[in-house]
Amino acid sequence: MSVNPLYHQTSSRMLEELEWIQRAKADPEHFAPLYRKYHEQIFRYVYQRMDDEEMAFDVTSQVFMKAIKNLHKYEFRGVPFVSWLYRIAKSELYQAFRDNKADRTVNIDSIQVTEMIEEFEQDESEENKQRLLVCLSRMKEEDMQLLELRFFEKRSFKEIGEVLEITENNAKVKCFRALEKLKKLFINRNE
Amino acid sequence: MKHFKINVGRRRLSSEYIQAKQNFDSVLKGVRSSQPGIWKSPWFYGVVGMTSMAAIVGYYFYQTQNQINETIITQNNSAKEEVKQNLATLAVNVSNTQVGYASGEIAHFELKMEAKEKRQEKRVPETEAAPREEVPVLIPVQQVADVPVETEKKVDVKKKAVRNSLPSISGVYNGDISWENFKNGEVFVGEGLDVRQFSIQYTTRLGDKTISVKGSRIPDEIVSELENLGLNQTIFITNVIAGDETGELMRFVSMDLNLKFK
Repeated sequence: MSVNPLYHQTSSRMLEELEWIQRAKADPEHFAPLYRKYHEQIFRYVYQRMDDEEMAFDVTSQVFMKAIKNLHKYEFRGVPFVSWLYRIAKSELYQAFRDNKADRTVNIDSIQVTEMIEEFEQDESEENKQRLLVCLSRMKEEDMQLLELRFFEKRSFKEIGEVLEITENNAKVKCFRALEKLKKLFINRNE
Repeated sequence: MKHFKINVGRRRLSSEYIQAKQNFDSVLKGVRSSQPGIWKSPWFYGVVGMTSMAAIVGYYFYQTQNQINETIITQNNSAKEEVKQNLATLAVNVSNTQVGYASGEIAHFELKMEAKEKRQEKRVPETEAAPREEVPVLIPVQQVADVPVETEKKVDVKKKAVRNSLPSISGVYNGDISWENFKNGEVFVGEGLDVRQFSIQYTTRLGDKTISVKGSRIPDEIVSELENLGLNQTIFITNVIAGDETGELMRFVSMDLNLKFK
């Protein structure tokens, strides 16, 4: 599994980032380096869960606007700055879904579908692929979030924990349970 | 039930494309336009609120202080005038009788003299009665006490003071009394009894005041003074003396009235 280099940074990079944050707290114009650094990452996170590209760009802009407005509340607690941005993105996304501006969408590569069927030790037939998609569409939001973060976006348990504000171990357990639920649903549907 | 729309193999956007869509200026513009005005900040409300409160309290305090000062000045003036008048009266009295009196003592004495005269009219024959002119018109109470007839009369009053009926104003003997009932009422001791005099004690801004009053009604000067003061306070009505048809004087117990304006 690949590691997100923007998330897992060296301490010198994190110190540099803290300096940017301090300067941005004094003057929002100094937020520019943080915006450039994390824009793509936040956009991909948003677009992964949306169908409409333009709407995803709008929501991403909203995320950064909210971050600048609330930057004075941010305190460094050993967690990367981007996890704070992810939390804002998550709340803005759900706000967009509540306002019916966008539909909740799950975007998967066909390779990821195949990998998941392999995980369930089933045939990689077209029928099973369709069945998996149906099962995925019937998962609960909470479980889907975990599956997306872990299996479709390939994030570490540490990162998942920080985004969802749970411990790394808890993220591990929850991801396993979500996968088990999907497997149960898939196998039951197969029988 | 279906919760999500599933997209498989959607075209992946390139990093260059996403970077090209970056627009930090519009984000900054959005932040600045969505910032609330200064009048919406809690600081603004706090400062304005505190200033308004301070202004209101200051104005109220200033007004109250002015009123107090005005009252004190008025009372000082009236007190000075009263002293001047008293001095003038005293000077006249001294020149007439060579004796000084306080107004309360004069009233008290006049009351005694009236009673004495009535009694003498009944008991002593007309021929033996001392002519009125022989008795000094103004004799201090202390001197009257030395005269045997006067002593006898005092004892008489004391004996009668044990009388059971209670004096009252508008039916109130003790406790709370409304301002309206107080100012419109008079000291009443019972049917067939005529209140001749009483003393009233009340508090003013300059201290306690005790005034000896002739008759049963509270004088208008005292009423207006209490009204101007507008203070809920305890009024003591003491030394209530009343007489019956025969002219016999009786002393009644004192009253404590709690004056209530509102």
